[in-house]
Amino acid sequence: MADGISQRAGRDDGRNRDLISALHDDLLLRILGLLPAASDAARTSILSRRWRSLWPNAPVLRFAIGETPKSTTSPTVGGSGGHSDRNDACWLISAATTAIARRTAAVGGPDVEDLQLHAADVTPEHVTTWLAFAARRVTGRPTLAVPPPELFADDGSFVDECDRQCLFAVLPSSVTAQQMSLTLGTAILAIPTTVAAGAFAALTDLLLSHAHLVGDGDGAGGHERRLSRLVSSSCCPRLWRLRLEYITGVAALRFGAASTLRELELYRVLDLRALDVDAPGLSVLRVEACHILAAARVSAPWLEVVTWKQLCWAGAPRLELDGAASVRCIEDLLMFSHWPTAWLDPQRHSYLTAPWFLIRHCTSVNQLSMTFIGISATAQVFLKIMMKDIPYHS
Amino acid sequence: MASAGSGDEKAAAAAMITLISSDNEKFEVTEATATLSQTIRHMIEDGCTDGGVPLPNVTSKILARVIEYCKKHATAAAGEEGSSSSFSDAAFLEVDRAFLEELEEFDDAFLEVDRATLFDLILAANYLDIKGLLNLTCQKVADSVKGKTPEQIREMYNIVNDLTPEEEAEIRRETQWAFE
Repeated sequence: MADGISQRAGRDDGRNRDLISALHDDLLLRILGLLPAASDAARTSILSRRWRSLWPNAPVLRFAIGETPKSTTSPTVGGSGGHSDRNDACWLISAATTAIARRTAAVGGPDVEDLQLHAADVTPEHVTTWLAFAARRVTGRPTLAVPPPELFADDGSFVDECDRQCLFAVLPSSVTAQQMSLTLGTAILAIPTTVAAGAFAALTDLLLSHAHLVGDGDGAGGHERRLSRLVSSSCCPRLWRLRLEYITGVAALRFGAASTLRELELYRVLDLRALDVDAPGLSVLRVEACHILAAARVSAPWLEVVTWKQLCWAGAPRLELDGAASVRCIEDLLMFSHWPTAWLDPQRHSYLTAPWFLIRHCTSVNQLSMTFIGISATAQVFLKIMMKDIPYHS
Repeated sequence: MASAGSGDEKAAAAAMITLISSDNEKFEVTEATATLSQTIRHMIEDGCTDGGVPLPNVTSKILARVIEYCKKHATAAAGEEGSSSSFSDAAFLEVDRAFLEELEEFDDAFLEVDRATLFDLILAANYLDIKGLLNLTCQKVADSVKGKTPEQIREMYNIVNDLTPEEEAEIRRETQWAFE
């Protein structure tokens, strides 16, 4: 398809004219911005004088270094790549660092609209520099994706926790960022106290992943309050989607979301005990694997889709879902069949509380997907017999 | 709101705009089609479209193609606004999906043009400020450059290398990582 341009030559096709270099800088920069990798864009700087001046002003910097981050921490024994991959990665990290240093140094030069850095094996300095650059010079979509550290070394041996590199990150505060995606390789994340009203005035989409929040000298729970304030309507008045994944150190999250917030996803916010959210425009709520969540109140009068999966064995959580009546779709409800009766008391076991709660309160559901968990062969047979009368099952 | 809305829609459907190409050819289009161009939208808002909109930078050949694109995509935009699709309306989602696929096929076919036309379309989309068309056409160029060596790109687009060997060597050193 790509070569089609050169092959389909018409009559007045400018066969020998340099049509592309005749385009205005804005258009050529736009084309550079549509290239999938920084290397593609950087290579064009050697085409001619005209092109040499373009790459340093490219609106998009995309560096995919090594593999993209894993969504789960499942260890791959033997490591993820050989020696040459590691070398390539070091090479690219230094290229990304150089490119960013140049853009930082070019005071008054154009900002970057889209920064994408996917990199494993980074140092704390890299993270600090990149996030500072994101805060100052990235206007649209800052993406930093550092996968969590490998649990196993190249030779298959377990990497001791103290041998793993500890990363530190400061959340980049930006009034111009629209979509911020930060996967921080289990870094210790600080939310600046300066994050105040309107700090993320343009932000519509926020992903925070693989980060550990700790207190910062402003009393117990100060970091939790800062996170709560960060995602609230005062700091993020335009937020449309909020995702928190693999977050530790946060026991309580209480916020009033912007009326624009449509999707809220909490996945493995592992220390979360209390959740209290007012989300007047929320349509999709997904809470999954927040194992010790003991009390949750969500007010979302326009809720349509809900997923709530908790599997831990602790006591039953208190759930309050104002908006349950408007839910049309329950995704992946976990049901337990043929378990010992003692395990099946919804008053005592959290893995039953949510399913029972949703089935009782979401009265206008017209789409429901379920996973049955049975522990005996009898249960499997029973389920097969039961399911045969249900249309559209799989 | 429903009755007022449909009345407005009828009025909008009836409102026709005349676009005049650089070679003086006239094109009658609906306002909905024309306003995919932000440039024309602003002209309409300012009330300066009586007697036609002269587009001195766009030839009739290119304008015809641009209008073809806008007609198709204006229908798509109207469809999106009209459908009250929600998560539970599987039928609506099905229709949306089919329509998006059709739109994608249209775009692919639309891009089957020679290089000169492609660049003319880019210039027209930029001048008329039609975001979708500009992205579509620029993406086609970007796709053609992706993964190519500088020599291949120069040959494909007749780019004359006016760098001295020293300059070229310097750039190659600076961006060596991009050539690995």
